[in-house]
Amino acid sequence: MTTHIQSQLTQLARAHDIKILYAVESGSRAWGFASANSDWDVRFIYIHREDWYLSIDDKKDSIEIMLPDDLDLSGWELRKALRLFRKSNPPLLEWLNSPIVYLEDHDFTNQMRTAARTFFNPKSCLYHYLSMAKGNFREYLQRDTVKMKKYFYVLRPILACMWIERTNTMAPTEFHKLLDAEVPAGNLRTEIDKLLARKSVAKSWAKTPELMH
Amino acid sequence: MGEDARIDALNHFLEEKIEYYTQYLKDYQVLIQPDTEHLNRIFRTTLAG
Repeated sequence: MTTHIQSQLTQLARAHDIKILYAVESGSRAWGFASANSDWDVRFIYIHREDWYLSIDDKKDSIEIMLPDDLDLSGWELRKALRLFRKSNPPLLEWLNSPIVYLEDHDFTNQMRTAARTFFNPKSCLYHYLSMAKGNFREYLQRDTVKMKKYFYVLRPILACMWIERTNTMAPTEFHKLLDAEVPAGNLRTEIDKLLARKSVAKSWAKTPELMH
Repeated sequence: MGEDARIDALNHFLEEKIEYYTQYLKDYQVLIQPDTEHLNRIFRTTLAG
């Protein structure tokens, strides 16, 4: 699949006359708790030729394409990405730490990773993760039945908050790193590990008995 | 029944943390002055490259 994705990105760059500076997997596959039928969520940053910027008109600064095989490609033009970076945009910071990289201009990513240490804003990231946890908790964990993966969609942002509070740095993208760092051996860890084990044997995300009482 | 107990423990943990960080952010003060010129340099060098 990696080769296929790289090929699609190369075709896309040619079709739009852009240079892709960085392309990664985001979402559940990057976090490390994807199921076999999870989408491929590819995110990328690109730049146009100089002429594109020499215009009096604003132009579209993103590209979104959904391809067969659940391949979701979505990219931000570099200036848009940098404006979001200035606000310590958490998804963008996660992309920079994604364990699955499809394309990378190392000169660019070295600059971005260095800058990320300066532009990281704990409050902005805490708000992002807390909002995600609250939303998913309210939406999915208060029903009579819940999908297993929804546990992780609350757990991960909460563990990210814990990491940020403890280290004052951006949380790692991978769930297992967060889990190992923030939940030591004990009853809670045992319950999460059991949930992970159940998830890993599930063919797809089955429903499980009510969480909240 | 055992599964219900395990799940309740997890939910209790999550709910407690959500409450904690909601309050934590209310009390959190941080002042950051973004260095836009730094980002302009990244843009220019990447465009030139």
